[in-house]
Amino acid sequence: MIEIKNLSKVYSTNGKDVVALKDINLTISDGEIYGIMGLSGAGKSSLIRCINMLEKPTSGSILINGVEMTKLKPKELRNMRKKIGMIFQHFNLLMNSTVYENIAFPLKISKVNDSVIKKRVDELLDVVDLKDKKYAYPSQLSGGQKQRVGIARALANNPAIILSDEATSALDPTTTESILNLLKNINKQYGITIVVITHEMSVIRNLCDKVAVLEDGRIIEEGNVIDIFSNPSTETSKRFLKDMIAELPPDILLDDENPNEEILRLSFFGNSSNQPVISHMIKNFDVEVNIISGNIERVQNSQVGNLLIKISGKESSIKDAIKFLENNGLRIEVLKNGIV
Amino acid sequence: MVSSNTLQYLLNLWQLMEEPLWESLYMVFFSTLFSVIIGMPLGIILVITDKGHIKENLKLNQILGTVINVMRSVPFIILIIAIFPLARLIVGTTIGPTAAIVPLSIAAAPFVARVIESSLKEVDWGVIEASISVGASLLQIIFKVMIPESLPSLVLGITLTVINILGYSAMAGAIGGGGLGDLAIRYGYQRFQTDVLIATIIVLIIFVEIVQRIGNYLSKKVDKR
Repeated sequence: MIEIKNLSKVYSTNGKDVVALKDINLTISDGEIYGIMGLSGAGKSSLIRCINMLEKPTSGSILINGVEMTKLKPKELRNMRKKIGMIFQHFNLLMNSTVYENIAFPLKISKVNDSVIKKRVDELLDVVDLKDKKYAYPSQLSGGQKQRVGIARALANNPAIILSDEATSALDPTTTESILNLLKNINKQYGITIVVITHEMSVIRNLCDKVAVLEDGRIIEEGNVIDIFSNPSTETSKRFLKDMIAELPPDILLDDENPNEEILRLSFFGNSSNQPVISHMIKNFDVEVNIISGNIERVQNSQVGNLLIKISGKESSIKDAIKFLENNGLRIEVLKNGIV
Repeated sequence: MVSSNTLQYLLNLWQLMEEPLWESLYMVFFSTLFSVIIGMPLGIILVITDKGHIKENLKLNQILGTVINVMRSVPFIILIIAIFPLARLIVGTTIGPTAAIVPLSIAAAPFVARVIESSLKEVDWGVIEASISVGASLLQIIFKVMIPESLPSLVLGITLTVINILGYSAMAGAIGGGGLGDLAIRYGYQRFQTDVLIATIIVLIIFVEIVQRIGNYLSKKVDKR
């Protein structure tokens, strides 16, 4: 378990203080995949680097399985770090060493015996599916393959935790997907806790169980990914979800004078996306529906969807129809003339 | 056909040059060795004590940097004379190639330190960070990450040092160090034997060319980036 309490990080450059993290409190349970999302400059990198003390917090505490990281002696810290793997956006492999040597590196550092290293590296090459690249140099690998080497290196010491610092940000979408699947499998197979920082919403959506949204060095929203995706409560979260939330095309404006027309945004998640709610509404109430746009996204194991519709009919029928939708678990926003 | 006179001439020239050539090689080899032994740790310290690096210590960094700059500004010919007492202390004499190794090593060490510094600075910080994250110690980071990662550049730097020391050794020759520089001055300059001067220069050019080629080859060979 990772417990972060009242963590703050202040950088001082040229006598000026820059607050990178302010009063962060987070608890990450064993076996969880925890996402930390934020725009660049929000403090994500500092936060993840504080977990393994690549950066020293200015104040506050970080407990990993009950061990206070901020108070460790150098040697104890090095031993602790061996149980925390880390993967990086730019892979950070030893460019003058082979794939084998890169994966063996943490084991050599830990003075593991050579025959054990050989066996372990072969196992890891199997896990990341790079057996045929054992003696290749990083410059001969693709981005995805390099990241697989990075992941194998992070796994070498059988860590309890893996920290992922924008691990897929330099990769194309297909490669990203395969890396995310690999991480997911590792989490399932070995029960390793994974902390992910990213600015890519798709990473959170496809990988994480829980998410914290970071802005200006503070956590502004935190919870289960499905809850945040279906009902974001802050502007930053909404901005992240913008791609998913159907926007009203600007040319579809409503006739101001017509009280019998409304444009609605419906959000649905979980079970309600499997029900033919709209069809029921049309049948039961005297309204007409024109679908303007819509989408459905998978978030973890459920669905989150958005629909923009134009609804027309008698004012009272529209009201009843809206009530019906709400009773079926949909969230309704009324957009008038394109203004929320 | 080459006449026997020409052959005799070349033979004489070679006999004149043989010993100074070996002296030069001897001076260059050991001066390079010792200057690397002294300069390498200094270069490493310059890098790791720099701001934000693995053993930040700005005071030490500044003092060392200043000392190196001062050493590098002293003209080599002055440095040799200033170091005579030290040479006598270490090798028991101030004349001959062995004595010249002392000032040559000391004069080249600050240069080596800077060369090593700039090579090690090329190592991507991300790789160092990655090795810290797997629990590597300071020495492990230096010897298992920074040096292997910058090896191609280090090899070129040492090549540069060898050639530089060859140039210095000619100056050492001028005040009794022996070697090809000494020969060029005594025969070529003081006795107006231009042919000896030119022969010496040709040998030096060949030497520089060979060293540079070997350096380039080795550097490329260890470069897998």
